Amino acid sequence: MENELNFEIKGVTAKELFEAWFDVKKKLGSHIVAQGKNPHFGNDYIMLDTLINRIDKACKEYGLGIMQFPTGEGLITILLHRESGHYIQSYYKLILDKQTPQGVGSAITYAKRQILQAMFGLSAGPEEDDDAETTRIENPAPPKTTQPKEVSKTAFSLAKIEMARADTLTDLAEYWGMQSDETKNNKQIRALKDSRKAELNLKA
Amino acid sequence: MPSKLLGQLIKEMPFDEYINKPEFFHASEVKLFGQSINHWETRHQQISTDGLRMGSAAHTTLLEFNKFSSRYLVMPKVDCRTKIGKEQKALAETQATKENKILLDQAEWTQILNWREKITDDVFVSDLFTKNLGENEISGFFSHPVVGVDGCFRCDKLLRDKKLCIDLKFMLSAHPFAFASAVKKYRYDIQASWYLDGLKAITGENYDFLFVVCEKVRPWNVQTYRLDEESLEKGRDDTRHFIKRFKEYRSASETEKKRLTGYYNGIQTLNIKWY
Repeated sequence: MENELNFEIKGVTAKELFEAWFDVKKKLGSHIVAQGKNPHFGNDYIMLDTLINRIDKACKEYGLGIMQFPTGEGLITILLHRESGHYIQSYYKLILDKQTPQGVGSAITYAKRQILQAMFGLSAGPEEDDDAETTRIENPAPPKTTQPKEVSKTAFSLAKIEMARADTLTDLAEYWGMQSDETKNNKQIRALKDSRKAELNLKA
Repeated sequence: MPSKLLGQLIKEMPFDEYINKPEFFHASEVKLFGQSINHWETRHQQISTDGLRMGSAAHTTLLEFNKFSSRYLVMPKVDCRTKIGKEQKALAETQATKENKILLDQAEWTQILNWREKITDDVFVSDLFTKNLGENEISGFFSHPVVGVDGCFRCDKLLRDKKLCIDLKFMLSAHPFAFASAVKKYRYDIQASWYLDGLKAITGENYDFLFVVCEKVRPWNVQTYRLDEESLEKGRDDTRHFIKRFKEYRSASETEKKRLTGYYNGIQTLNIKWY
């Protein structure tokens, strides 16, 4: 696949922007838990909603903002530093599988996800770094039980594992609060959460 | 004039008193409307089966054990092939009738104790019964916010602090497929949504409804279930539909009533799907 990537930095000096980028990168780490599985290729991917949620939160803390504009043929992305006004702009040419509105939508979603991941060097695969860097910034506590790495990383099975780790209603509420709207609106995952809540309620 | 019971959760209401309040609809009546009006009209003719008798005895054993001896009489083990055995059985039957109690034989009693043992051994629900959490056999009376009738329900167990309503079921299989099929057959979705809406109307709080299903036969598994929102919503939809059907029936003329009591008003053309 041939992608055209144009990259441009605006501003006299981008020192403040880069400093903020490093802060965000430190906060995010290099790995983000994949919550989606591509049924065709069997690979894991980060759901866009989750990705935006995580990156937005960290960027906001350090005065960074991200803007993405589809132009018809491509996607312009701007990483902006609020105080200094400096920004980095990139252009990503969209490759369409199908010349339909759905095809365009799908290409935009794909591009948005790829660009956001690339901007902060985030991987969706199994975590391999030794220092256990993770983007689960909202929940820095170590997992309470170890899970085999081979566990399927579909959204449902991941949610199941994480919910099983919640030993109290507060833990569960905290976990649920961290989830994206897409996850919260998933009927199966919501039912899973309600079942776990009932289990914990009976045990409490 | 609205009943004084409306909006109340009542402890220790005798079952006979609870069941004999014609001004309040029960969830079981709604289910009967759904079958046909004739099912509802003839509800008092329903014959008590061994399953119902055992289920009821198990409820008492688990939830109101202090009342067990006033409701049930356990017959000693007798050999009915002998003359003495037959006499002992007849004696026990006479005593049960005289004392207005339900007779259980030794095998049935052992079975009930076995069920109790399995439930009190279950990792999720044991505390409910061993520590006797919550309140047992709570009767609720409410004005249904949507269907516009007064209704009542009776919770096996109500845990107000945890917002949980627990219902015990004794079934041949507690497997999810079997229970899902039982939900459709016995319309437990109507029961659960009715209770939840009732609790909401009375307390203003959202409760969760749990079915603790206990297998009556080997391997006596115990499994707890809850219904998701979609299933509860189906129960609510049908509740509205069935009550509407009942209201139409009640306001119909005598001639018209006859047409509304069965399954279908008119002649129906069927398409039989063989494969």
